Amino acid sequence: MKTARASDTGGLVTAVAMLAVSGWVFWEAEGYTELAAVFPRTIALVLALASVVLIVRCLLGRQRGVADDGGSHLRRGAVVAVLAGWLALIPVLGFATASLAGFVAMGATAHYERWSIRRWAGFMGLALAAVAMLYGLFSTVLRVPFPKGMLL
Amino acid sequence: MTTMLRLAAMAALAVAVATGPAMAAEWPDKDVTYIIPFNAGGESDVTARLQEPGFNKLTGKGFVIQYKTGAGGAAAWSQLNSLTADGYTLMGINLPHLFLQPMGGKVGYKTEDITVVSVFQLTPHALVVNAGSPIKTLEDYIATAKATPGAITVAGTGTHSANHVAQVSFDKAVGITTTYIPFTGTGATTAALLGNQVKAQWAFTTVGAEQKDNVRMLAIATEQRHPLFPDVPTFKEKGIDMVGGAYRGLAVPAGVPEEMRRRISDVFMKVNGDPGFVAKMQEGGYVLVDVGYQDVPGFMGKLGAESIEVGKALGLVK
Amino acid sequence: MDTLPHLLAALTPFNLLLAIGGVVAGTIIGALPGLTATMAIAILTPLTFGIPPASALVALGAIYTGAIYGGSYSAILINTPGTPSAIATTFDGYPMAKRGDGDLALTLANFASVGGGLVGALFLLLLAPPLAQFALAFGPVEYFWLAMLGLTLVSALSDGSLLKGIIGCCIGLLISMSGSAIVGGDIRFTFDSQALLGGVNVVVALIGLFCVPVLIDLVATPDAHLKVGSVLRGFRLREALGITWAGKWNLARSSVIGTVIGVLPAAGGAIASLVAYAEARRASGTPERFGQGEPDGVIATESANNATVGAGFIPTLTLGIPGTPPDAVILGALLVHGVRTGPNLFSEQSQIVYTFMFGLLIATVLMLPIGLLLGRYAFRTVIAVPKYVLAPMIGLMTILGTYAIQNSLDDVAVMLGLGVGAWVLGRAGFGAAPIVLGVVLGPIAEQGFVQAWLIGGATDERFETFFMRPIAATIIVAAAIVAIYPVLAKRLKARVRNSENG
Repeated sequence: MKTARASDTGGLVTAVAMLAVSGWVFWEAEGYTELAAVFPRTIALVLALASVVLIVRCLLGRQRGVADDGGSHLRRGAVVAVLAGWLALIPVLGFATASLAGFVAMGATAHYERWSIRRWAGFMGLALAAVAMLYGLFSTVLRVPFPKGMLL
Repeated sequence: MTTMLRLAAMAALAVAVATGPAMAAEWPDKDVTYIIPFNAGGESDVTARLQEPGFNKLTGKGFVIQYKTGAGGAAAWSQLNSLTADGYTLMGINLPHLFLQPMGGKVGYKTEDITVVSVFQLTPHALVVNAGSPIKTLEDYIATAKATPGAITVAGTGTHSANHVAQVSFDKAVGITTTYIPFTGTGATTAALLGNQVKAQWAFTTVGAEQKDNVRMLAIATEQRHPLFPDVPTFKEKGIDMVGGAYRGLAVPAGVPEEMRRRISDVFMKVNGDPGFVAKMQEGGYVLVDVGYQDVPGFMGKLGAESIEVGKALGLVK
Repeated sequence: MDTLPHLLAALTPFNLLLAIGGVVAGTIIGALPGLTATMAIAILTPLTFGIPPASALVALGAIYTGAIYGGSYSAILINTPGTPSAIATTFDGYPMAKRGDGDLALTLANFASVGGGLVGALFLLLLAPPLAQFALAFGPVEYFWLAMLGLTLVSALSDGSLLKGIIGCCIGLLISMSGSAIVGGDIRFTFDSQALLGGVNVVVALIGLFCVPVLIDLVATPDAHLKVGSVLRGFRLREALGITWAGKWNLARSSVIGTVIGVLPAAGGAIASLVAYAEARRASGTPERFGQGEPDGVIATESANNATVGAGFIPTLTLGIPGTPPDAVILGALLVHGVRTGPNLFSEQSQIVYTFMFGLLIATVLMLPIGLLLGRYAFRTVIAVPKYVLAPMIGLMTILGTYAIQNSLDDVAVMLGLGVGAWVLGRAGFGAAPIVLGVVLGPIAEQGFVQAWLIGGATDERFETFFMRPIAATIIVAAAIVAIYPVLAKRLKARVRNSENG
């Protein structure tokens, strides 16, 4: 459930940022040919207007914010870090290996249950099977060329 | 110590030189990856798929066709040289795109970066109108354009593409003004013509072959009349020096050694001679062109010079 | 009737097997985020080169319709459209799943897909030539206004704050403009990077904007991903049948909308389902429930997008012009098979064409049992696996799928970037749906506008071009109605209520 708050800092910050973005678009559009600039300029104008109205509403306290839904920010950050690391490691370790590591790491971010050797063994088996199967499917049947790394 | 290193280097070089031709001679010993810079189903894709049976007959291997679309081909061409240079990754190329795109701005590559190995096919320019159009001949078209400058809307695929080049070159050669309307993809462009959204279309002979009686081809840009369309005059006949169209060929990453390039070119030139392939190509309105690796520099030089002129007309080159 | 032999030809065991296999393969591929119907067909086309053209067409058609249907699985279960045509299915499908009605949503999606697919296929069989002519009458102006009609959905998707919805939509529109401009060829908004030279691929944007935020929030709590009723209620067939029957006009209307839009070259399932959704919401007695898990929303979108399958073949087979992206691939495949496409296809090769059309009908009917079974399996799997398995599986599939679109790691990076951005925006109250709306409709709106501008300018008839063409005018009126009607209706209801209260 989302409960209403009187202040909407998130909205305010975003609106200011979007106002800046629309300014940047106008500036970029200077270098475009006439017809390629029409749409960007129009959209940027609409964006700027909407942002200004939102800013005003936030400042007047008329805009309700969205409440925090709870949940662990630590885990959220971890998931993003894992995905980014996964991507970064692909050219280094090779697609399959990086995916195996990423798979296991992601599992860890979502693991809330109690520790158990048996569960982790089962999970590792699943990880190996899933990565092997999907990688095999994509590279053999679908003939997708994967980037080369040190390992597979 | 350094003598040892030098000896080792020379030995390695010798091995490489010795195995180079050997590796090239064995090519291909597995399926070849063929990257198409345009959408599936387009002319480049169809050409590649039609080449495969001939290729298979000659070498026993096939293609793994992949697509890398975006920016009218630039997305693929700008990444060509970062691909594996073992001769098993080929990329389709289109001319005059390779000349015009870098002229237009930063597209991620320069024409010289692309190692063209052969050019095997041409779709000649064709000026097309709807079968129901009051314009019956090329003379009608020119007369209408002179009477109402800019009023004739002509559809074409893409900006700074072959169709665009045709429109600009023709208009300049004849001294008229028409309005070019770019569309994305041949399908949308032809649909616009069939629906009378525009008055004419700068297309290729392939559209004429496909649409048959729905369209009327006013002229085509070949040396002689095409066997498929004996009633359609050439621009040359009408006194307009316009011969050409969109050329298609193959390129490889820059690191591929010379012998490999020659071998690839030879194989594809032989495929160009395969009777089954030739028949299907002609039926489709294509024109086969035999520019092998050794002829590429001369061909590209000539086309490059022409493209600079076009570039000036398009306003890309000051 | 001389079509009987063609119908029988479609029913040979070989072709039936191809149809079944095609539907299964297509559904699975469509359900995996990152793999689209176009890709499925492009990849599986070479496998059809050994078989006769009519059978190859039956197989490809079955794959196509299965894939469009399969996109609803991931849309409903993990809020990620498996194909762009399933975008609008997430609007109500996922909320239904979250509150425990996932099985119902899947069954409804199945019924709607089969229904819509049949309507599209029947139009193909019976009304192809006139519909093709109608499609040709659609010019850049009409496309532009159609995109505008789609954009009016912003208000419906804004989840509370119209302002934020508009801002989100603008962001999506700007994203869609990155890459090279259709007119002028300028390279825009690429930050000089190679990665964005081709623009942001729609599917990459979809996965980034929809799936990544769901993934991020998935790991944040130990609560179950989807609520499940205490008793697994099987397919909930009776319930679903009841809802479908009650929504039969919605189903019919959305299928027709899907057919009409599917016939238009270069307009596909995504736009069809968005427009059908907009109209369903407007015509509904309870429009405020749309977006919160309203079954009619799922029915509208899934019937519309499957109708585009049959409809898309109309311009493809009658004019040789692809109606939707997968049709372009199929056209290419036909050419390689030696089938001359174009205006004479029906007369010269009627055996192939009619066998194929019947095959498509059969494949669509087969989707009913096959889809229900596959859907149940998918549902059971998603709710049964613990989060520490679900999260990595989703992660693996999205990274794999995103990479496979254009064999580009850059796309994966773009997906991740968009995803994190979407999550942050979500925290600030900016939903992903308006952004995706902008990304999908942006190119159509811009191209239509710029082309119409050029065409109108050639004869100095700009105003007439934009506002006075009959079809365009109809769409403008429709867009106005869709945009203004909810506001008027609310006012009217309030006035009635006030007068009753005295």
